[in-house]
Amino acid sequence: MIYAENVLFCIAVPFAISLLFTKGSARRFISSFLMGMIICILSAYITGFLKSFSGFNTEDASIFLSPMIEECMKLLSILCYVYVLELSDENIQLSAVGVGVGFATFENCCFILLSGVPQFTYVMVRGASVGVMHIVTLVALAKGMQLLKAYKACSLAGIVGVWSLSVTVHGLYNLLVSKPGVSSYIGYVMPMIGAIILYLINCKSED
Amino acid sequence: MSNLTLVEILLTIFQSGVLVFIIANTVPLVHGSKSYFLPFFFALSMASCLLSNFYWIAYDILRPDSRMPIACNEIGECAMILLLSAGLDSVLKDKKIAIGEVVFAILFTCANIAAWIAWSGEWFQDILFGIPYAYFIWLLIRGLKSRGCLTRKELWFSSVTAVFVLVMQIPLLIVKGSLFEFTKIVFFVVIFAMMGWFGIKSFLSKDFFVASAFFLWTELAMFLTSGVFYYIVFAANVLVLPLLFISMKKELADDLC
Repeated sequence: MIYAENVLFCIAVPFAISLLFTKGSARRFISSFLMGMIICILSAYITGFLKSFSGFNTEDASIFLSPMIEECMKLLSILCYVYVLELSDENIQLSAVGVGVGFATFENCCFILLSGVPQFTYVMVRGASVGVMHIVTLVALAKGMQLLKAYKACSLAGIVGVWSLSVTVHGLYNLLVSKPGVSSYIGYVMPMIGAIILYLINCKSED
Repeated sequence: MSNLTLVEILLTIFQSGVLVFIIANTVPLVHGSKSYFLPFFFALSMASCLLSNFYWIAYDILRPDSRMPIACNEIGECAMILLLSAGLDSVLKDKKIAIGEVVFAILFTCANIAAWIAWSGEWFQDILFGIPYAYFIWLLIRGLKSRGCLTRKELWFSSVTAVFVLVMQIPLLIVKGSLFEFTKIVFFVVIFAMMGWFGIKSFLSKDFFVASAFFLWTELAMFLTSGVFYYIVFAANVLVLPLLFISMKKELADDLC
């Protein structure tokens, strides 16, 4: 059995060392990537604890609990970037993408190592759906926070509102892919559509 | 899948259509108006409600006739109430804190939460997601009072009726037989009469606070009813949304004048 902590250590150390030799945006991206992996493992710990505390089975915990916990942890990282580090809009988005990629990479690594060698098509679908979904929700969170800042509406209601959007999208994805058939296909396509929409919004706001 | 679940899915799809229309018409108001807070929060609130609806539809189709445990859509509903509150807060001018109003809002919310817990047994989410209602109710009372949307008598009447409906929950949980049936009839008559009154009031005044009070009443009534009555209240809840949108637009127009 390979422990998730060992996987984290194995992937994180080279990245941590690379921080010594990088500067600017590259360093910011790598540190966010590391942050994403740490958030992923912390979310797994909390979900595991709440699962045993609430008595949910594994499927129910992944459908109902993990979206809330994971999105909550992601929101905390974004709040840290916005309020503690007070980054510019451009850097908030860069950091959000880094956290998303780190989260998705670590989750996918653990999944592949734990489930042996699954079918190539399944691995592809997983990479293009759940991997993208973490980036989409984080970019959406970052965009939402930027919007709140732009409209000077950074209140509790605004933050909870933005968070609720990412939680519901994540929860909807987990719910749809939990059953085989048409619903799972819709679920698998959803993150990619979200990514395209966010990309178009990004292009428009840059113009 | 039971027929009632099918009705619920159809109503939720219809509500989602209404929400898409409202969001599409609210977004241009965010860019086009000087007081962008209200349309901004309103659009975000409706978006939360829409995503929550999508979750409900998916859940009803994939797990029909099973009770949903704590789930993401509850965060969406909670966010919707908080965002509507933020919208109300942005247009409320008199924010004087009167102890009586605050106490009423808190006690009324606590009583509602107690009723939900007695009915569902879900302590954690009922308490957590019930708390924003206290703030929403306080804002409504403050707004209705300070803006003079309702007369003093009407405010007392609506408060007493709301409390009466809650108190009726106790005999509904305890008594059986013909007394239960009688209490049930009185309970539904009061709920629907109040709904009709709020409906007429909000249609005539087109005030954002009255429409929000109507919306709140349908939300609370949805929590307190089941079966066919639940679907009637749900249909009323769908009808409130365009009224909320119209009153929000009127609020913006008044603000510009």
